[in-house]
Amino acid sequence: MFNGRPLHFLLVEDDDDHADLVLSSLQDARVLNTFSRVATGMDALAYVRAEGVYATATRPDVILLDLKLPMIDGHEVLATIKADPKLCGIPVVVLTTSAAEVDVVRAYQLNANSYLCKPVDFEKFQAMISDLKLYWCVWNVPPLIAA
Amino acid sequence: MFIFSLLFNVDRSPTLVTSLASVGDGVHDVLGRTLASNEALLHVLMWIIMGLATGVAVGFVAMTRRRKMGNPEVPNDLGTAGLYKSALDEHAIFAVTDARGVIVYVNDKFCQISGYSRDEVVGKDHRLINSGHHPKSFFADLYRTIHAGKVWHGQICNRAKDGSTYWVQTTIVPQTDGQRRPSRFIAIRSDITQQKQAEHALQQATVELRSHVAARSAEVAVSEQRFQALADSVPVGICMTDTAGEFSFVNPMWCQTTGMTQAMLMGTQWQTSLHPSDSVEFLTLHKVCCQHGRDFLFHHRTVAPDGRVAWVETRFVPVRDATGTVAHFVGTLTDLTAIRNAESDLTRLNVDLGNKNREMEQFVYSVSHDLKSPLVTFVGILGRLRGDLAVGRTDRIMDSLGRLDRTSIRMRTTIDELVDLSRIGRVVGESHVVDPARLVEEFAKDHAEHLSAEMITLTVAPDMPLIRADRGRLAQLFDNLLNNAMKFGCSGARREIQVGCDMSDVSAVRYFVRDFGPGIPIKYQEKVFGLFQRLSTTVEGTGVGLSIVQRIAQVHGGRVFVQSQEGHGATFWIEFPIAIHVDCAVEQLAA
Repeated sequence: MFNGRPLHFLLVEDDDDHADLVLSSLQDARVLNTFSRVATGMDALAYVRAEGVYATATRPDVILLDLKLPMIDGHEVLATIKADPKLCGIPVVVLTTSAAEVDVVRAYQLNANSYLCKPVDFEKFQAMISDLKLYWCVWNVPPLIAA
Repeated sequence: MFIFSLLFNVDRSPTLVTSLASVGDGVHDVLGRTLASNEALLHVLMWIIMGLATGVAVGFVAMTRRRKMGNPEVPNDLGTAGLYKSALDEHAIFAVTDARGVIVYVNDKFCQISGYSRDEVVGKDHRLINSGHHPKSFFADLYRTIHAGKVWHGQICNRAKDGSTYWVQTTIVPQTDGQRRPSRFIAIRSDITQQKQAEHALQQATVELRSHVAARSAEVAVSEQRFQALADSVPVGICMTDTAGEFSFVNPMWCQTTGMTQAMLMGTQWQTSLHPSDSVEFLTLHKVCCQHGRDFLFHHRTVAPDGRVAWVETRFVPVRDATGTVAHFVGTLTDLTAIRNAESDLTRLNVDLGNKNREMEQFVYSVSHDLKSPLVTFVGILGRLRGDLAVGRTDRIMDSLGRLDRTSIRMRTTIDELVDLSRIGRVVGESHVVDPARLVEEFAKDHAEHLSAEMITLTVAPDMPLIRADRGRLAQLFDNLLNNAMKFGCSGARREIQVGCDMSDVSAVRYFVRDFGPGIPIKYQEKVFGLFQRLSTTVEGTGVGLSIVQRIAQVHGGRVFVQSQEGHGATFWIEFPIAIHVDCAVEQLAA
């Protein structure tokens, strides 16, 4: 729970199948939460800034961000969010297939809050998403007033 | 008079011979007048001989019998003759022998030089003082001469009592009796030992000098031979110039490197073989070094008369004379062309290798990500399918199978394209004359249905230039660009694709594929050629196509780039070096 309402996840993922897998795993867990999904970096930024079609969208409590995105990629989205004083408080969890050191280092340099690598194993994938949800929804203590 | 002449002829002095002419008339007067003169001594000698010839010597012999250490006294009746004899004693070594050669008289000088007392000598013959220096024939000749009643002149080496030798200039005058047979011999000698020694030393020195000169000449010849052999065989150019830089010597290698002959270089300066681009700098530095006698080192190019350019290192070192003044310069010329070529090859290879490494890194990075992604999908969908089947949920089975299908197709396409991409860099097909207009027409024919269904117009500019290239790869290049234009560039109101060319640059052949779609933002214009880089999530694609296009252009020595403004379409340019351009007129001419 976050400020009296269920935690809202924003999934930024261009691959529909991956998005389905993540979202179904998020739903399967017993803790209540809500989510949205966008497929491009441009949509992600529009969403967090509540621009255009996202004017009334729920502000995300945690962002799950893929790195490999067309046009504006995940690193750029991350950098933009963390550079924006109104958005930098939103925890960003990088969720990608890339285990390349260069990507990990760059993500943390851009102030990512966590870096997760998608496992090539369904059970592990599910377990990881389930733990992720528990971590942010149960154990993590967010600030009372969103930064 | 005969004897006098002989005596005086020893000195070969015309003056004396002239003086002799007057002897017969008034000897005493003449002698008296000339006593103080330089020739006095010779006149004395003349007189003595004359006296001896007329029996004065008998008195001398008698006097020797007194066995005094000093010279026998001159009888009073001799008068002036006694004085002259004293003078003779002072100057010459004097001896008288009988007809058999037995010494009957010697003066003090004889004793002094030979080291024998008069007693030891008188009664002996001259063998006593024979040094053994002369051969027997020498004395045989001497005796033959004097026994024939002739005067003998010569130089004799004698041995003193103490064993040392001495040289005497000797004149032996025979005194003949009534039958003209020699009855006595008068020998007058002067010590010439020092002169002989000096002569000997001089001879010795001359011999030594000659041998030294010969040895030095031989050394110089050997040294010169060595230098010549070295100069001819060293793989370095060698030259000598005067202080103004004018060549006075060049070796064969110098000629080989500069492509000039010795005849062309002699007497000329550097300008003749300098590359125009290096000329000013070279000559300025060279002038300074010549003026100040400094070492010169310069890397530059030379141009041979046939136009061949060589990279060389030129060195000059001043050679100074004893006073420290620069006499001339010695220079070397090292051909660096091969080294420089190797260096530039190495640099290029390094750059290539660096590029390949970066490509490989990028490739591995992209592949590891982009091939892993469908795998994640696979296991995910399979897991979901398994779960659905376990709970008897059947409504999603077809959906899951469809996803698996699509994923496997996508994966296969990606792998095919990656293999293709890697092949482009390694395998270059045979070059043919390719007409890109024809390739576009073939594409239009193959995609006629799609083009007409989507109402897309595809036009090709007339006069598209021909190039020499791998036809298959070039077809692949245009296919990719045209496919992209259809997929991404024909979503707007203007559904048109234009293919054209630009020949305004003399160094390049440029083609373009233009669409009027949404365009590509500037910041992504370079990124689109990256492996697995995609700009759209709505249109199917692997993100390999433009990488392939770029690689094909590169293996033909060219490049691709895009010009676009968001909302105003995109123009993809393919640029090839003019070298692969096929000039139709030239081709026809050749045919």
